[in-house]
Amino acid sequence: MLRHSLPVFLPLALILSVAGVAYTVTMGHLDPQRLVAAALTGAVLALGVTPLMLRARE
Amino acid sequence: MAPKGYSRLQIALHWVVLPLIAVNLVFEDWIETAWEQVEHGGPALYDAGALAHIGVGVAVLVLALWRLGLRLGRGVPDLPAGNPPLMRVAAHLGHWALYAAMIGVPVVGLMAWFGGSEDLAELHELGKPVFILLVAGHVAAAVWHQVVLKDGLMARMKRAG
Ligand code: HEM
Ligand code: HEM
Repeated sequence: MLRHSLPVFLPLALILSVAGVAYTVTMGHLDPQRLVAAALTGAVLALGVTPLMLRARE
Repeated sequence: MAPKGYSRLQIALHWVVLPLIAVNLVFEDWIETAWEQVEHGGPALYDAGALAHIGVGVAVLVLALWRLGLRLGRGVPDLPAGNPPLMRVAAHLGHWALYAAMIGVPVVGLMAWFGGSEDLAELHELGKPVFILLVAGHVAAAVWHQVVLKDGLMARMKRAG
């Protein structure tokens, strides 16, 4: 299970974290707290998106 | 082939989301202080209220995505046979609208928060009447099945099959 999902989860977490930070910066916010929170939120969302990606691959 | 019933996990996810959404609707002012600061151009304020509203909302989003994955993968049981076509259409639309709200409302909330956008915040506020209407209709339908049609639909969301 874990061996199956980690290779999907990790890149997804990275992509969504970067997307969260990029969105926040694009909207003109540079305070570190908000950027860190955006990155963390992206990683947490990857938890929900991973099962969807695994389905899509089946 | 559609499964005979919802799995235990699908049932658990269905019921766990209910109190989470209720918390964010009832205690909607938890995030107010923090949001006012963002609106006035200040740095994002992560006080207990903001963390709670965001944490609960992100949990709803993650659990809804997980559930959607199960629905697309394992599938859900067919609607009870014998229901008129219009009712089947309404049930499908209603369920997909609930998914759309469980995903859309927190996503717009996140975009409002991290982008500091008042327009998106106003859009996010619409989540309240949307959830109330959808869930009220959903519960009314469940009660209708239970009391009028007596087709045991409620049991499908209680016992795994
Ligand atoms: C299912 C999840 C959620 C529900 C049901 C929900 C519900 C609500 C409600 C009812 C309000 C008050 C609206 C008003 O003042 O009239 C609100 C405000 C707000 N929510 Fe959420 N929320 C959810 C998730 C989120 C998430 C994940 C975020 C991300 C940060 C968020 C950010 C906000 C913000 C910034 C406000 C203040 C907007 C304003 O008062 O104008 N929400 N939310
Ligand atoms: C007291 C509240 C609730 C009751 C009595 C209830 C009852 C039910 C029942 C009996 C079913 C099974 C329908 C079938 O077998 O075809 C169902 C399915 C469903 N419910 Fe609820 N429900 C409630 C709250 C909610 C809430 C708050 C949400 C989400 C916002 C929700 C979303 C769904 C969805 C999307 C389905 C379709 C099946 C699935 O994809 O999981 N329900 N509900």
